[in-house]
Amino acid sequence: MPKVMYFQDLIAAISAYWSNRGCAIVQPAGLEVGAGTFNQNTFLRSLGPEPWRCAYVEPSRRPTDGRYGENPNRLQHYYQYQVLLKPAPSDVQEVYLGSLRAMGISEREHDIRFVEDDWESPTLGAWGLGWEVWLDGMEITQFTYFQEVGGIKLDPIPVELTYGLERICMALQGVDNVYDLKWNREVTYAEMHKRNEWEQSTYNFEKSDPEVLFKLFDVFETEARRLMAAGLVLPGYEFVQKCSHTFNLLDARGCVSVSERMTYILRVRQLASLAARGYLALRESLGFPLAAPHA
Amino acid sequence: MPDQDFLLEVGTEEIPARFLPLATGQLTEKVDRLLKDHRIGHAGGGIRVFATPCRLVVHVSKIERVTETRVIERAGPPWESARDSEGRPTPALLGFLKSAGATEKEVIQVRKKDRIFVGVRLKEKGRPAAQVLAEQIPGILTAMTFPKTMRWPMTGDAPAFARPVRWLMCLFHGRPVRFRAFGLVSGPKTCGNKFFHPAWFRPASAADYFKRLEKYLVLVSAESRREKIVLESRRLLTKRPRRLKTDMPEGLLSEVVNLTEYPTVLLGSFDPSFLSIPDAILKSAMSRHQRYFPVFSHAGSLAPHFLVVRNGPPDSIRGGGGVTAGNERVLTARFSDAKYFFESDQKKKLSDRIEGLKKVVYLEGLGTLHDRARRIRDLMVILPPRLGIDIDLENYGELAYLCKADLLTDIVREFPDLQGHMGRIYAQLEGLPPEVSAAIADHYLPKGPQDALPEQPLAALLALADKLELLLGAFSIRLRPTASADPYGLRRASIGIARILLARAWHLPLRKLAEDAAQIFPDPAALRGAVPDIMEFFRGRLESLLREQHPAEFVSACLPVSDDACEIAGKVEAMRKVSAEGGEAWLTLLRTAKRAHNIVKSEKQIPPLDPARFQQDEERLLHEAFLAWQGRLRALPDRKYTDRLRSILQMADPLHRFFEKVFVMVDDPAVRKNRLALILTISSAFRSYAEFDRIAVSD
Repeated sequence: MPKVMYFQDLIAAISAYWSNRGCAIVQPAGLEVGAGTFNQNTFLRSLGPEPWRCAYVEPSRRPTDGRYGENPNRLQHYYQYQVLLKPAPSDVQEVYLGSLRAMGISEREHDIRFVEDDWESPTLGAWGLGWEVWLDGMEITQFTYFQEVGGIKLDPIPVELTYGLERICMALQGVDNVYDLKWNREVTYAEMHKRNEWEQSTYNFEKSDPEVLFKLFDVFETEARRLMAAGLVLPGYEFVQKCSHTFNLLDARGCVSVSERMTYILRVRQLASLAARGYLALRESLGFPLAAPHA
Repeated sequence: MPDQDFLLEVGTEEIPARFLPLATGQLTEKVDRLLKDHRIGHAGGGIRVFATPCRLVVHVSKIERVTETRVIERAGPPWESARDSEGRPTPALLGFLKSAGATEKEVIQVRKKDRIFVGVRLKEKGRPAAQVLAEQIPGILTAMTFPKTMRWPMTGDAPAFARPVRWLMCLFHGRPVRFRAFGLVSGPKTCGNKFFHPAWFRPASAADYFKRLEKYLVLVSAESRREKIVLESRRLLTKRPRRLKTDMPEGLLSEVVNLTEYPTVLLGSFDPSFLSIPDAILKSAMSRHQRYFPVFSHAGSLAPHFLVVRNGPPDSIRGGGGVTAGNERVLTARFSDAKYFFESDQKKKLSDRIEGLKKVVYLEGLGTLHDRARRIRDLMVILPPRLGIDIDLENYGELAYLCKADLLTDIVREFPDLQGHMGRIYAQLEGLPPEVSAAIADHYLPKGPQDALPEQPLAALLALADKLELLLGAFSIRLRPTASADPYGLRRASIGIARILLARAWHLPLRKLAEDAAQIFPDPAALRGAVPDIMEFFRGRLESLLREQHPAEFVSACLPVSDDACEIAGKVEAMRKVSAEGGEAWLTLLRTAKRAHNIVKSEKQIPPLDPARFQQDEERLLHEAFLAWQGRLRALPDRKYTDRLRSILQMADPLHRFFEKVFVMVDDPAVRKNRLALILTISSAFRSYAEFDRIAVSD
């Protein structure tokens, strides 16, 4: 019987793998985000000519996916493993298969499939083409060649790999319920997260105060605009992320009417586009320090 | 051993399955044109094009080394300016000969558009075919089109493709052909199945290429992959102690064929307790979400098994941890989810979900699904008196909303293709009347030109209202289908409307309905403005529908005179009958109707008919015959189309005789105009039935 791959071992193994391939192992945004894509290390760094390679765990929040800890496969808070490679290397699929082997998944013993899946984030004004990667019929990774971010066409094209850590770990540990995952030898995923799922679901669906959230959204939006206008793109972008999460909370609470919904998404998208343009201008003013000097 | 073939392989990352047939079609056509245009001969089995998710392959066997030599004629100055008055060559001729590298002896005459020029015959020598191919292929590949394309790390105006191109292999008579495309240089090497045989190798010939790829788990031909899937499925199912079977819907089968380079079929199982979930849910989870083939017992009921097609060899691990076990676990998770949703959905009645329709946007400018349902209800009220049906809607006030309520259930959110179907199941479980649950499911019918129609009148009315709401609403916000795209299914809706009206013999003047119903839509003025477009679009669909069974001429004769599909179809039918039995009388009608229309159609300002101005007996007789005929026609019911047409035949003869005896275009303008007025009156009466002049007839 091979050694059990604990959840934290999985994170360590995949981080070591990408670290060895020149990725900066960075840290979560430290903010509430819906996906690792929102982290500035992906959203902002995919813009412009500078090469960039990073990898990180992103604790992600999807308030509407909460099931009070009762569903074996759905969580409102889960862990993505995010890798961004810019420019996308020409052997990126092989390197990706290598990362699966590093986690203990051999492509010869399994059925790995790249199934068409086009990705789009309306709030970030971003889209790309790629696949969902299937492991024996289960989606384990979103594999996307970004084409546009913040409404800006990208050149060079980065590739984003987003692994669903819980799903991969469930396959490796052979469990059918996410809460049965062993985090390490001592604790399970349930002990770490189940109460949180119940409390957060209760907050998201029942106890959040829509009036406060609406106010917060306006405040965050104003702050984002004020800061970006003052040339402070990075703190400004943090407020964009806060806006996005506040919108998600309002959505989960069922407080955004249909006609308002598109308007809110558009408001966030405009902020994201401001941040993207501001960041590009900032890097340009610095002379794109990470880009190879022109001959 | 090298061969005499041409072999091209474009190595890619996984191209979406649905793009592969498009890619092979384009390549076949373009390579064929290339070989013809450049006169590259080939004697083998023609051009063969193959596709797997990871490669596009072109194979031409026995291709000529050199393009065919040809003789072309090159024209120079006009013949008369080639020599001066003394017959000496002019500078124009000498200049031409020099540029063509020819002597005066070779000069010939070349005729172009009735003028004669000096010319010479030049031999264009054949070129090495490999060189021509190397020049032309990059253009063919970069010009390929796909529904969606992307760029990958290349800067500037690099060509887009469906997915990244990673290698190019090209062999001509066993030797590599070099060209550049997509930032790559073509070479002699390829590789096998990327998961099992990723090593590069150099095939010696096309035959060697196909043989070794098969060994390295790549079946280049979609036909072979399909055969392997079908055969293995049959073998797995028949060797079970209790015989099982599967149906392999073409859509799913070809998708699976194009998702794999080397398909191997595995038989998996699931816990039989899941069979308590409705079959439709289980089947949708298996085929739509997982691309599995559901399996049935010999008697036809769903069995606790499924067929999964993997990409690669048979499962290397038996029991836990292998491919089969992994797929079983995934399916169990999906079924558990579905079971949970199916049970929790039932905690809320369909009618309690209606309020929630207010939270779902329908189409920009058309409000929510709740607004759409209200308009469907309004149409259900407006329609029956127009259709001449008596249907008591007292107990079905909520039906228009109920039929959309299942869109808010978790199951339909998870399995969108089960819309309507789940509504029926939940309605039955709630104990709603059978005609209500049937209408909920059947109001989506017909889903295609061959699909079944709603069986009960209530369902048919709801289906009609649903489709009319979609069609009118979409046109009112300018969502019109284009030649290639119809994302909102307006063609299908229109064909559905026509088929329901025809099958039920429901007479519905559509223009009037659209104008009167405009007020229930958010922008009535826009809808009224779009009515001509709606009618044109609807007529187009009705025309193609009727042409499937009737002569095109009859359809185009009847189509313009009415906006009631049943009337149009009824008249077309009558024409068929009458033309078959009519003989000479039918031909006389066609000829005289055409003659009458031709005489009056270009005349401007024909005054009203004035019997006092008749000059000849023939005029009076024709007019009397016309009045008598009108009287007989009025006595006939409007919708007796065959009887009315037979009656029209009776009027053709007097008109014909009139033409024989009376000269219409006399000099006296008053007499002429009055004769034209008489003809116009009769012609208009004919054309109010159908535009007979659109039907060809010999004189």
